[in-house]
Amino acid sequence: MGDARPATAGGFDAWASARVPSLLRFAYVVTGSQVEAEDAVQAALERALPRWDRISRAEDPDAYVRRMVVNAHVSLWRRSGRRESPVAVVSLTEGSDPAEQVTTVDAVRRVCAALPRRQRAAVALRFYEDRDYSEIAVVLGCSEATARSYVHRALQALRRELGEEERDA
Amino acid sequence: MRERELEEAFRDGLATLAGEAEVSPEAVRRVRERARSGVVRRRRSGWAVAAAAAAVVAVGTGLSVALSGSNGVDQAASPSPRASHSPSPSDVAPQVPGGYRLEVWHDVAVYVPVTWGWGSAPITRGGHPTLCGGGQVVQADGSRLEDEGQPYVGRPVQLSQACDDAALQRRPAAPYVWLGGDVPVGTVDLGDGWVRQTVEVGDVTVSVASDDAALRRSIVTSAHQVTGECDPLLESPPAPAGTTAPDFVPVSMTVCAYRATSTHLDYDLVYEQELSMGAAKYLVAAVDAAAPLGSSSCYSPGGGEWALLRLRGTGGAFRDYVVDMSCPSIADPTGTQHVLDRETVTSWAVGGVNAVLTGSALIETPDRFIPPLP
Repeated sequence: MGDARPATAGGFDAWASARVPSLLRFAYVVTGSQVEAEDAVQAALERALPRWDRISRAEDPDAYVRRMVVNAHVSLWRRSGRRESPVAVVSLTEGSDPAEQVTTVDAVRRVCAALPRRQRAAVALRFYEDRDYSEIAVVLGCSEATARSYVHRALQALRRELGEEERDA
Repeated sequence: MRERELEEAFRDGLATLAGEAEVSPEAVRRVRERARSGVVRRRRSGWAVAAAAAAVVAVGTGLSVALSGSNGVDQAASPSPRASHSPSPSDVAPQVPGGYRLEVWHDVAVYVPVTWGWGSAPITRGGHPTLCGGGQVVQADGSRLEDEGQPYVGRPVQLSQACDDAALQRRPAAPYVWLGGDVPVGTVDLGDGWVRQTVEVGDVTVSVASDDAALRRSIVTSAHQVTGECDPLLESPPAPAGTTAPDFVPVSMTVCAYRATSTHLDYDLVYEQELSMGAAKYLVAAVDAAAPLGSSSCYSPGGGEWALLRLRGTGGAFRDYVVDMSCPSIADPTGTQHVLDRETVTSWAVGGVNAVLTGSALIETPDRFIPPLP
């Protein structure tokens, strides 16, 4: 995420210019969809703008806005009444063992797509943001035990998914 | 595959997903401009849009001492002269379909027997789940009771400083439902034929403990996600809205109770209840007769609990009242705040809401205003 201090010193626009790309990546991981990622980031920025004086003085403005992204996503989704999670188009990426990497990435993609929104957000915060469980609990507004439970269940789901792929191979 | 390998698989996979996001200058500009112009593609319910149309009544400083002291409280709690419309107890009782009532927590609802009371569900303290205030139940008639033999539906609220870790494994004296409790999914044998079954609906756990398998099954299977009358999540405190027409005649009332999330960025729905025409009419008369508070009624209210009372009339007309629990008041659609007293509380706070909303630590609302129904 990097140091947010220099960007916040230039006001909201300077901060947004510097941070929107990383916010979009984070939101994409949380939502699994470009459209939903943009919606969530837009909603978060819209809320952050009138409070920017206060947010910019926070210890970690990035974390604050990321929290808004997660909340905005869950909020927009709840209001929309949607219960399905769109799955992005699979894209091949290079790696030391392309076949194995694609298999793992596909498994992660499928597992994430099947998770409830808050569980998926917990996974993104844990394994993409490297947040500890107490931080995840604050962001999601749940207990630390619940945050651990979300991540644990996601790991079990991935274990099952990869196990099935190994059997299919 | 070991846990660490699974974690690494997630890290690698999510990093790859993140790389798929479009972060071109065009995408960044699009997001920034929409945020600047407020053109986020809202998918709000009609409620939220209507609520956002009206400004929240500002509560200033100055009267906190009076409210936290005896004078203010006594003044607020004292009965005030009422209009001629006076409902019978049955008018203010919740509408009950078939002996069951709907209980909502966040966006999950279950049907429970109408005679059950309201209480607490496990929360996590010190890293493990515990029950704080077990055995303290608000009965279906609105009165409080300390009786472990009373069936209840609990939510993760702390009703007491006394917490009991062992309560989660102990055979209860009466059946219960826990909504949103910090309880693992699965089935626990509590002994003597008592079983607690916990399922997850969306992100919310629903636990049912009973020695009656049929009852347990019927409640568990009734758990479902709702897109009900109340918005399950508000970005800001609710605001009064709707018609101010003096000839408005309500035909029903919905109570939506909210509490600030731990991030204080949103307000979660903690309770929803449909009430009858009698309750709605009574509320209108009570608020009309209640004294206005003026513009400076509270000093730094911070409880973060609200009740949005939506009254529906004919032809799509509606009127919203907003109750601020941390600065006891009820605001009408003109933005005028009125005192909370027995008359302005009784019609909507019967039953469970007073086990869910606690108000500020200094001002015991709505408990102090709610008499047991005869």
